[in-house]
Amino acid sequence: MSTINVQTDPAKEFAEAFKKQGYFDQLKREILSKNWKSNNDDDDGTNTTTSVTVEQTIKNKVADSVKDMVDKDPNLIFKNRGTTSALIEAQLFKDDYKKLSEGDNKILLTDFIQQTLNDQELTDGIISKLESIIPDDKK
Amino acid sequence: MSGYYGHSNPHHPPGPYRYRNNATNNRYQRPEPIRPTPAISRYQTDSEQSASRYNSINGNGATQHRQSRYPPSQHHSHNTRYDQTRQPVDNQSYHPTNTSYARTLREGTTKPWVRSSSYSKQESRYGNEKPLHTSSRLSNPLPKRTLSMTSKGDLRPKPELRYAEDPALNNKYHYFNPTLKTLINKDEMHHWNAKKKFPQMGYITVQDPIQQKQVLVSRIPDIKSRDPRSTKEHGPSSHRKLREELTLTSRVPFDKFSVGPPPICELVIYPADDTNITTIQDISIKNYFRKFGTISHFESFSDPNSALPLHIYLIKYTSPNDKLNNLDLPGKSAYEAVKDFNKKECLILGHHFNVILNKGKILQTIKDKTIDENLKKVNALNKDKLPATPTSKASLDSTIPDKPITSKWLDRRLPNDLVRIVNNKACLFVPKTFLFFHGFRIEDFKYKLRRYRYSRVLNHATGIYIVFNDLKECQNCRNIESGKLTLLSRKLHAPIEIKFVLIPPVDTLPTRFGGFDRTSSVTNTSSKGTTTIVKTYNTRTELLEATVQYILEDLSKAINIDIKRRLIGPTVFDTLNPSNYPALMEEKKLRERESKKAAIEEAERKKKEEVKTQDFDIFKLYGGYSRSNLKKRRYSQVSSDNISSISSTNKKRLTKGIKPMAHILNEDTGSKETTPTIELSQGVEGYDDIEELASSASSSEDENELLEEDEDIEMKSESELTSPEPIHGQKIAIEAATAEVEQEDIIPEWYKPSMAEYPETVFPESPAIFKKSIDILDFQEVIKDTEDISILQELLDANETKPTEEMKHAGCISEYAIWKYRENEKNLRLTNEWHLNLNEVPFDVELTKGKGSFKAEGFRKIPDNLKACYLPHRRKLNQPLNTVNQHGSDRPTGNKFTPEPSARREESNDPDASESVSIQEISSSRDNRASNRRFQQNIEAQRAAIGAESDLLSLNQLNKRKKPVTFARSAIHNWGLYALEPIAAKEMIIEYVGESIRQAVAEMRERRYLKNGIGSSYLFRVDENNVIDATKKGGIARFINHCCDPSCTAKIIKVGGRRRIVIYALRDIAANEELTYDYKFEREIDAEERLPCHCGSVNCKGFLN
Repeated sequence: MSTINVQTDPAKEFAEAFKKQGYFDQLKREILSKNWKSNNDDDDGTNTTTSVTVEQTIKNKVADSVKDMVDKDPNLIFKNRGTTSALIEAQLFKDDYKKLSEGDNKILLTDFIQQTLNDQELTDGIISKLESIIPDDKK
Repeated sequence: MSGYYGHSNPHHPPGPYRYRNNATNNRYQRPEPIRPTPAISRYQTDSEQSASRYNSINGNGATQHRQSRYPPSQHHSHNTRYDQTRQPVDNQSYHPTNTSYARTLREGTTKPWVRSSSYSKQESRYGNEKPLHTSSRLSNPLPKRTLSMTSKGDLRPKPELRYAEDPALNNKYHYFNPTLKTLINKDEMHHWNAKKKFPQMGYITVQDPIQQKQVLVSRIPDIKSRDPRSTKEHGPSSHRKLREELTLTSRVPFDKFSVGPPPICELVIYPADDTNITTIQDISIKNYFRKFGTISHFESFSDPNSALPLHIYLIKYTSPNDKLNNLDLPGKSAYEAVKDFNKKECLILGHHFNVILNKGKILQTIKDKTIDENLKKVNALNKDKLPATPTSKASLDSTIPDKPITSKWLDRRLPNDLVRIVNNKACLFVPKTFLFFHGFRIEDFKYKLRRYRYSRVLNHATGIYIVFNDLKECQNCRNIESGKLTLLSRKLHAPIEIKFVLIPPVDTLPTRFGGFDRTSSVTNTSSKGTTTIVKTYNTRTELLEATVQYILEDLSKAINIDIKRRLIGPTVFDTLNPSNYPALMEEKKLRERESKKAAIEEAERKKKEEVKTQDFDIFKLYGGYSRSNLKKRRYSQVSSDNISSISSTNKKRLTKGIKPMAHILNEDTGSKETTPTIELSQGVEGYDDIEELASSASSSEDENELLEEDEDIEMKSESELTSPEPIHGQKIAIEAATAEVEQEDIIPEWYKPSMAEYPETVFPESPAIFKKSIDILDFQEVIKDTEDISILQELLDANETKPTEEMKHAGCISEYAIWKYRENEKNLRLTNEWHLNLNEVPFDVELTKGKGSFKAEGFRKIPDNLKACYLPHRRKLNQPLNTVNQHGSDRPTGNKFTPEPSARREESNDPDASESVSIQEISSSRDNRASNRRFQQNIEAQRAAIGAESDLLSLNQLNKRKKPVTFARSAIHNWGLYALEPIAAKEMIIEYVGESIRQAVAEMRERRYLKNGIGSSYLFRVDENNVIDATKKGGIARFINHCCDPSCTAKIIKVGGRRRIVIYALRDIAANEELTYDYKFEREIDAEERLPCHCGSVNCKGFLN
């Protein structure tokens, strides 16, 4: 029986190799631990004294949203915590984090993500790392 | 005839050997009996030559000395008995010398064995009988069984010879070397008749009458030997045929007494041919071989290199259930399987397999072989491949792609109209001409190729196109079927092979090795591109960008997931923690508290309302006077309390300085006047007051009161009266009484006015006055105070008459009489009470008929219904059972007059045990049923594990459903069965257990019991022919009594195929209630046969039958 030699897209292969090296997770961590440029900044763009990481801002925002919800409906806290939290999670997550972009300290999460990903610096960094992976003989 | 030879039947020596000539028999001359080997196993294949000791394969002799239970000595000993001619023969030639065996060999035939020399010296009349025995014991290590001589000898340990080291001893004790399997002194042995001194066929010695010498006469074997002692001309002629060859004896099955390894019970199954087997599943193999026997072990082996199945299987058979009895079975199963395979081919799912017994290491060899083969194949393939890659790489340099395509593949192109339909899929093609010629149709192909995953079969003018979705599948199908698939040709009426042509999808190029590769749309091969890659990138930058793109996509996904899972999730969870919202918690608590309070208040309100309704009685509604008033005035009932209260009031009067008449009479006859007057005066006063108040009091009341008062006083003071009959209104007493009233300053409370709608008497009316016949005690009751007495006195004119001596005397007596009367009444009442307490049935006066003393009466039969009133156990059904001693229970036992044994109190000192017992009983019946089922299953499993039917494990399932019941004395009859806990309706209570006997036996027993005086019948019919007899042996269900209004019923259910009688509850049964059911006896015509029924139910028929 003969077999077909199916080769995957080499780009994908290299992407896998990249991930295997651990660069991927590194990137992820970096992004999330970046300092959040909050909207409450002054227009001149100076950072506030308390530089909050992305993670922290997200958490804060989430907590606020939940508190709002509870204020509206106090019964939430008395219900089964696990299921309620799952429901709230789903609500927050859908529509590109719509819920998080409402309210007082709204954060535009999706925009932020897109921004960071399109950042040229990031891409350059990736490319440089890739260069090391992809063997030169492919040139 | 078993395979055992020499089996002690001297008259029928086995085998073709016959003792023809007893007289001339000589141990050394007769041919060695060809004893069939007892253990020719049928399962040995022909290839194996069982070298039994009696076959001389090489004349050297595999004869061994058999150390068996049936030493050949018997054989010979018998014959030697008749061998009288032996003695004179010179034994020297037969008995070898000390040092060597004189083993004489008969040419070409099996030789007789020879005893060892040392023992041969012991001459005996019977030859070497003795030495045979002794030697058999001493020369121990000779191999015990023939099997060791067989090829199976591999399995047995090598025999060890004793005295093997010492050659002298060795020679002395052995003549056969089992390890070398030769006779030790073979060299020294010579043919017995080497010098041809003796006749060939043996000889006998005959007394030559002429020469007076022994002469050797040649023996003619064909002449039958005869016993010289016998006078018969012809000996007993046996009509048995001479058997020329061995009879096959039955195979001795292998059992626990067998020695040696068990027959092989494992099979090895391996593919017979080299075809590729993919579709065989283990289970189909297993099922195929399951019909030969129960499989205990099934193993399939796979290639260690490739993890592919080798399709080599090992099946081990075992004996089901009781291993002990059927050790032979697995061997047989395996043998059958192999035999079956030998007879016809083993075809499983279309693939040929070989089936052999797993002997020795054959499994391993097969496995190794197959693995090697596979490895070789793989290597071959790899080798072929390897040169490919370099060449393909080489071709990279050239800009023209290598297309070593054989033309035949591209010969066929899809017809244009089909292109669309086929839609660029691979298909197989069969030309129309071919089809037409043989008359093949689409349906044929559809059927034949049904195993393959084609998408459709198109019938076209050019031929048949079988379209596959998957190119691989198409190829697969073609490779397998093309050339092999046969269809019956209609023309030639013969199967025709069909060849398929593969039409690949358009954009695939066949590779050199028969595959197809999709080409990219970019046909120009770049420097990077090989014919084997899917996507090509022109430049490195392109590649990089593509990679980056992938990475970024994945990154965004990962970030989102991370945010959701790691950030949002836990935060939400934590935020929902109620402790974050103290305000809300407070609110909630408040609300809860409030709700609780509200609930409590509700409950209280309800309680109050309930309480209040109780108080809605007349006095509260209408009475405005003080309660204390009422209490004092209330005399509850005519009871012992009354007596005591009256006595207390009497005492009261005493305390107030008023003495009873009797005392006063005793003291001072003269001052008799005073006392009544005092009382009278008081009574009068009270009465006056009352009169004023109770204006609307009924006149009859007054009159009555007066009357009673009068009569009362009369009784006290009258002298004439002797009988307690009071009603003869006489006014003497009253006249006699003149009272000086002691004024009391304080009016007792009860004389005070009271508010009521209707006038009330000061003292509550005693119901006694309304009786038809009033006795003295009732009368005394009515007189409550001095006023009454004064009235009475007036009525009876007690004041006027003077008490005479007679009257005084009579007064004393009457007083005593009244006291006595009172006492009697009291005693009677108490007795009745106690009787009632004890028996719940009032004492029947019937019992006291007669002279009054039971002993004086003599013996008489007391009817059953009377017995109930004095025998405590013969109470009515409905009364709760008291005689059942429930250990440790604190029941109120009787009243103060029934002796409460201290023992009972001691028992109740152990409350824990009782509690646990009672708690157990309260477990739900559903749990009980489930646990019983589990228990039953447990027992079944254990029984299965044991394998044998054991009495110990026989479980009466119905026992588990039994309710807690106990027997105790019964109100209906003697003993009865009582429920210890409440039983719901329709629940099974207990099984009626007893001896199961036939109808006839039952009838006989019934008569016998009646004759013996067992009046009760414990025979219970199961069905027409079976009866359960619990008279002498049975369960406690026999105690259930009959009742015309039963609480239980009997049903016949089948448990484990056997019919059983089970008692079910018809209705809910309370604790301690007697269980009853309807016996359903046949109605007897004969009046004497009818048994009265004591059930005491409402609809009692009166008789049991």
